[in-house]
Amino acid sequence: MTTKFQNQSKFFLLFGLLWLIASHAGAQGEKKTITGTVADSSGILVGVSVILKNSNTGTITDHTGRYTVEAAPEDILVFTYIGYKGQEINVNKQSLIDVRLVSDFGNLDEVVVIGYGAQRRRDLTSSIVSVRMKDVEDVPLPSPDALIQGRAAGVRVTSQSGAPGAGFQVSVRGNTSITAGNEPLYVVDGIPMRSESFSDPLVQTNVGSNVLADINPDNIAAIEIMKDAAAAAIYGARAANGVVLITTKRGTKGQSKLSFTSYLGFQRAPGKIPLLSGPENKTLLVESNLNGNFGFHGGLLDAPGTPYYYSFDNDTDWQDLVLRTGAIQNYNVSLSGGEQRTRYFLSIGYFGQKGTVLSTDFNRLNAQVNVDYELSPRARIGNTITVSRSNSNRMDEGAGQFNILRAAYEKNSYHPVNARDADGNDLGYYGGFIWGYTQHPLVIAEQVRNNQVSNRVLGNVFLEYDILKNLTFRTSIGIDYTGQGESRFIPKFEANGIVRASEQRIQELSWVNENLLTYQYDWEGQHRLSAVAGYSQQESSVERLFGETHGHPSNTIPTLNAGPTLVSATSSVNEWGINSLFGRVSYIYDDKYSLSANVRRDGSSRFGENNKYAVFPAVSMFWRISSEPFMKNSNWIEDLKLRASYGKTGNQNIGNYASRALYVPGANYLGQPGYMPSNIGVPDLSWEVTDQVNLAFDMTVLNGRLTIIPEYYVKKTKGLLLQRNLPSISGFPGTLQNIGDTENRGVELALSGKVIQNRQVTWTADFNIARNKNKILRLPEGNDIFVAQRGFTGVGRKGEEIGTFYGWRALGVFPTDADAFLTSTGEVAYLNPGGPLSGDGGVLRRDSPTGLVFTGGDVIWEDLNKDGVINDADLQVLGRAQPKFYGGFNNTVSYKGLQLSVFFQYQYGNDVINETRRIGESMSGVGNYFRSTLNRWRKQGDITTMPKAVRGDAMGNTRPNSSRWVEDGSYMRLKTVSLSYNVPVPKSRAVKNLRLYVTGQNLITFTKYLGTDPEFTSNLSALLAGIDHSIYPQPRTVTIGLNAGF
Amino acid sequence: MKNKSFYIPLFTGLLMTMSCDVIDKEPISALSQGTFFATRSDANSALMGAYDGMQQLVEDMLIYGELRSDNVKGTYGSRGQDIHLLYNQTITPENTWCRWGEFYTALNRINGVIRLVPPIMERDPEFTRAESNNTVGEALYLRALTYFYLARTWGDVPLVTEPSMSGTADFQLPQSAHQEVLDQIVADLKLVLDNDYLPVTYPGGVTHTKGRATRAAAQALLASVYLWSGNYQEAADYAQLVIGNTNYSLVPGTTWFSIFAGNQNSSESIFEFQFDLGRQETNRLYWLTNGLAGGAYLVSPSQETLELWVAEGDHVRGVGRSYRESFYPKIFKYEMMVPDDRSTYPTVDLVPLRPAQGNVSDGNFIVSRLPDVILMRAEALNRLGQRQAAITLLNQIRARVGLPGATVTGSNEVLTASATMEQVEDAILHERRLELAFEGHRWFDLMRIARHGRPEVLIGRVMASDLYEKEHGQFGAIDKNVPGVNVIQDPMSWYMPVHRLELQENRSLEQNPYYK
Repeated sequence: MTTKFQNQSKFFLLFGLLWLIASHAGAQGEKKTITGTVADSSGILVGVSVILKNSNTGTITDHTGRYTVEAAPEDILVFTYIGYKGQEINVNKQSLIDVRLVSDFGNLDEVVVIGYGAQRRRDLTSSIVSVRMKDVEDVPLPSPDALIQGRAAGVRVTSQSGAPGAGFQVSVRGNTSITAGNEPLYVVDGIPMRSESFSDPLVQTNVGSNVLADINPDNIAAIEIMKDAAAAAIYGARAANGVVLITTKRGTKGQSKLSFTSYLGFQRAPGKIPLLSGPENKTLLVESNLNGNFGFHGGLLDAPGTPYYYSFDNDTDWQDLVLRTGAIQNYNVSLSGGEQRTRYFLSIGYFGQKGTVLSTDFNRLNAQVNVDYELSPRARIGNTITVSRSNSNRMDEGAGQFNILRAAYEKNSYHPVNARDADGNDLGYYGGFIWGYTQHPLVIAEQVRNNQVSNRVLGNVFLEYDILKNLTFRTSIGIDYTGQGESRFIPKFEANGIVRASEQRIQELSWVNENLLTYQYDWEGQHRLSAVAGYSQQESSVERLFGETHGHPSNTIPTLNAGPTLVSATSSVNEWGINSLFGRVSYIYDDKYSLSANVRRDGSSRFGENNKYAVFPAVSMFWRISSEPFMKNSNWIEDLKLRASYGKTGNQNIGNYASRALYVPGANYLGQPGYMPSNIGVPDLSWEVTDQVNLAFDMTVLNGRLTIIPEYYVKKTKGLLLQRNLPSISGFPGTLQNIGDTENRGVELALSGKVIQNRQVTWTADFNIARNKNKILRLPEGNDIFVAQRGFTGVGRKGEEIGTFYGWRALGVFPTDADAFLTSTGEVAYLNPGGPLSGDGGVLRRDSPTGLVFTGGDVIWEDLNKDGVINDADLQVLGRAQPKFYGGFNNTVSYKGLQLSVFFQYQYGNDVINETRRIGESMSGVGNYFRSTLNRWRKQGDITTMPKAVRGDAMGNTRPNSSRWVEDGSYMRLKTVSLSYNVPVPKSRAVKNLRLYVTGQNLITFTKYLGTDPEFTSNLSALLAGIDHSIYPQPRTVTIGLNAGF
Repeated sequence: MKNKSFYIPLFTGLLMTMSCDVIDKEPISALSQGTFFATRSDANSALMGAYDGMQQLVEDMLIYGELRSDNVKGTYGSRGQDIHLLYNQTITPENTWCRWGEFYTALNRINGVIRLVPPIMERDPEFTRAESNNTVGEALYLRALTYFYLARTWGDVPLVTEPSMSGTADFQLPQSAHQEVLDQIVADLKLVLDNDYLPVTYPGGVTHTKGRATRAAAQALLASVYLWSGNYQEAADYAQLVIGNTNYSLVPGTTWFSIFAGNQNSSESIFEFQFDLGRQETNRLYWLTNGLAGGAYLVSPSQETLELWVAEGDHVRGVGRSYRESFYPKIFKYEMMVPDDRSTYPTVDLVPLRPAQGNVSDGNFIVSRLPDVILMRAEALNRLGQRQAAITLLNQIRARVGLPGATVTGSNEVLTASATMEQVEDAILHERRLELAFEGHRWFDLMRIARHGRPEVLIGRVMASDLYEKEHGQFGAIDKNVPGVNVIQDPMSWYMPVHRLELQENRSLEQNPYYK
């Protein structure tokens, strides 16, 4: 309890000091106070710099768009903001000056939000990318993470699936961790928010729900991504994977502004997989039955006279039946404004999406209330509240039992939609569900229910007090609350099936309190000093309740109460807490040299007794080379700045009690409660620590028409939180330990330029590209670590990158039996034509020297050690899931009121596993298969790459761990193309501005990938990213929209 | 708003109420090391956790005890799976069945009880020495049982007798010799029996008395261990303690299958792991032996076994009892059975059984029952030269199911005291096969006999089994090379290899020389 006392005493000390300073404050300058708000055509602008002309004093607008500055009547205020034309206004007698800026481009005086503060881009020493909200306003996207896809160099955003409400995966500068997660920290209006979906959802999927969709993009004023340690380290133990700061819009002083935005659109699946027709499906199954020794019928294709005979002569396109035209719609109304002391931003919105696969949808109702109130010229209070409710119906994906798409691929095409009896009478399609063991896609779509409802409240209240002119105290309390309900119902539709209902209720409440002192000092522009010091604490508690019952008499009541057998009823509570002290000092000399340092000390409940606290320092600097005398004569370089930084960040993303020796209930026997050890204690468990060096140039050339930002970084992560296997005699499968190192090295390049800029036409282009090389430097005991999922294996190996596929390499298909014999030198005859055959008729075998023999039509696996046996010794690296480079390319052309924007997003050089094709080309079961199987081996001498059809696949031709399923996942996608028109409206009308647009998304994709959509990831494990297990593809979308201001 | 400074203390006050120490978090839905093993009820919870760990092992007990024998075979569905490789004796250190982790997971819980329960007496005055001894006694029985399976399956195994307390320990421990492991088992059981740690019955009713370790259960296990190591007199003596115990009696032949179905826990049952669907405890063996409702049906009776009961004219234990006859024959034990419609089996004398309605997968796993003990004593006495006594015991088992006295294997000649030791032993082995089929005994029976001077019994049985021949009939010729026959000549091949990963993680281990 000493720590508790220490913290409290620190707290008192802080407040004592504050009181002291406050009571002595009050000296006023001779100048008067000017306040106002800065906005553009669509709302307030955060971080606009407001400077007195010919001086270096000034300020920036806060997150409400408001500024306060001391100025004399003869002064001129200069307003500057990146992407906007500067404005100068004479102060005269005004004390309230509201300004509307007109957009421009490429201004270094833009202000960006940084951790616990704001800074002019010109003054940055660290690596922070801002996503311009203007670029994405015509793009119908449900969540902020989707907005940044392709827009920020070094930030890779991949959708986990195209299902409505599915999440995205964001990685900033590569993967640092193998098991502790690689997602950045999201901070919304100062509240570090839960950004990952809860684990163990009821829906059987490897796809998380989109937690960030609780933030309505229409309400976002700014998104900033902290990439290097200098920018992120102020968030300490949670910042190793970068930090994304999201700021919501706030009210501005002036007339109330009502705005209405809406879009409506249609969505289509990108395409169908070519499958076998009914007759082709039958032919293949007969062949497969015979090759697998199941006989001609194999229990599948009943002879004439049997009840289902009429059912076997069809050609059904199951994909057509489960796919549909989806719809997307969004409505948002916001009201903002303010008077002398109060400003407000109110918004309410609805987003709805009907998926392109039957039975899937997502909708969200969202409200935002941001209010600021001036208590006195020195004190302000305010709040931010986001309330959202989302409701989604999802389908199983991946390994799920009831994946509608997979069922549509696998359901025999010779089956009819409706079953008929021996007399040909229609039985409806329920009657035919079990034929051939394949599931009926329509039955699944109509009957299996996966519903998720989530209520979220994210908000804070704050108080700001100017203790001195340049010393401000701010304190805030925020909460992040989620109440989530999930229900799953599996109806009765199999002869022996059991009706199953399960429900889960999860409730998480996290609160955070932050206390900040901010100090600014400016000595005639020569010396500028800013400092921040703060104390923060956050605590979170998750409660879970789960119940499952079986045996509902019918499908009419899907809730638990109708099931007579209680299978499970359980609940749990889980907590974590973190407390932190942090500070930053940055100094700028003459706009030329700058040095900045920050540090955070975090204490976390998640770590071992011996490692409760850790310190994360960072230093950074810039040197404005273009201000040096020797550069003065360069007339094509407008600004050239060298930035460098070094710092440490941490990753604490593991289970809440992972360091403890734990006993858990549930090991019951004879109806008596039993406890078992569930975790072996590791008192030394600690953070993953990432050291990062960043080196960059910020370059503005050609009269400000071209901005070039090249960056180089090296990230080294030490003490990976790795599940280390323990010898099984310990009684535990393993334990988390801090062992293992990884490295990410990369370069990024961001270009943005004004290609054409004249009165009539402007054309701006933005291009970014990033290259990240990831490498595992060290692993426990030097051993490989493996992750297996659905038969696929990912290997973690020293020298390889995180996300390396492992398995057997396929070299082709044996044309004849004799081709599989071994030569006397142990070579496979086919690969060594003309070689001497061995005397004893040596043959290539599966698994062991006495295993089954490969013959014609079987896949030729590379026998690495040439021992005549295809087994574990022949496993090798087959592919790598991380792209060699990735980025985006945007072009916007405006002509009068018309604007055309074309945005490409791409990644190159990543491998993916096409599991859908593995099932579709396996020919070992009883379903339908891909059209590509028409090319299969059928008789001795056939030369092809598609093996023979064998039911049961005794030789493992279709084994998952194989190069057969590894494909190039590179793609370039016309992500969005939009055309908008600003309708001219007369000033006198109620409508102040009106914009109409039409946008297409995912319309064209250039890829060699054979699946439906190359853009996906899987969150199974960092070691096994990129498995397409019949994912829900991203739809092609066309929307029309309008933005109107009143 | 003149008094603006009012807001600062307001906020401050609010913060103070929240400013507890957020980083001290004790688990709520679990217990940490320091808070468990404190009370009488903790002792019981830890013990039940140990039994629960053993419940997870019944699948292993069946697989290791039967799969390599002539009793069962891997089904078509198990082809390509490790279980099939085990069945056809193509075993490599990569086979997942070579992993012994589940046994040690249970052992860690058991060792926790043995080591950490007695000190509870100092923390909780309500917890008596007698209760402590009883709890530790049950754990010692479970430890002996676990090591007996480990020793019979792998030969030499690491001998862990302490619970694992810290994740930073290295757990590098070599195997102990087979005999050393047996000595530990005997020591544990002797400690329990000599000090009377275990009761004869438990207050919780028959499910407790049959589902927890009793004195008779320890005696039966000790008899089995002695028989394994060739201490025939001790084996016969300890078996006799159980046989002479009036709490145990053979159920009548007419209700023979009630041993496995309905209420189970019959009068002849000594120890069985209890499963109860109502308590979400399902027996995984159902999954292994059944194809319906999510079952994988990986193991089925071999054709030879089915013919055995037919040849004997054994209607009590044969078709519709121990197995279902069909194109896909199925093991009936471990499934809840109810009487079938008689008309579908017009030729059999007794009303056959069929699986109970629904997904009933909570059949108990019987570790020990009286016929096993009787036949163990018969085997021991026969080895001690007391043939008549052995034959009497053997015929007692046969008479119960309405069969005449045993004959010499392969002839109609009635077995008498003048028969050879081998003839009597073969008859006992044969009877064990009929009576205890699919209960996890057969492979160990064959190994036991083979270890004690008659390896040809094991080799002969495996060679005669329908490992491939019968399969060819069904599925056509797949591979003429029959590996199983050749490999079992080497006694070390009767034991499983140590899994590759175990060797990798625990570098003190030695691979079984046969698999090197």
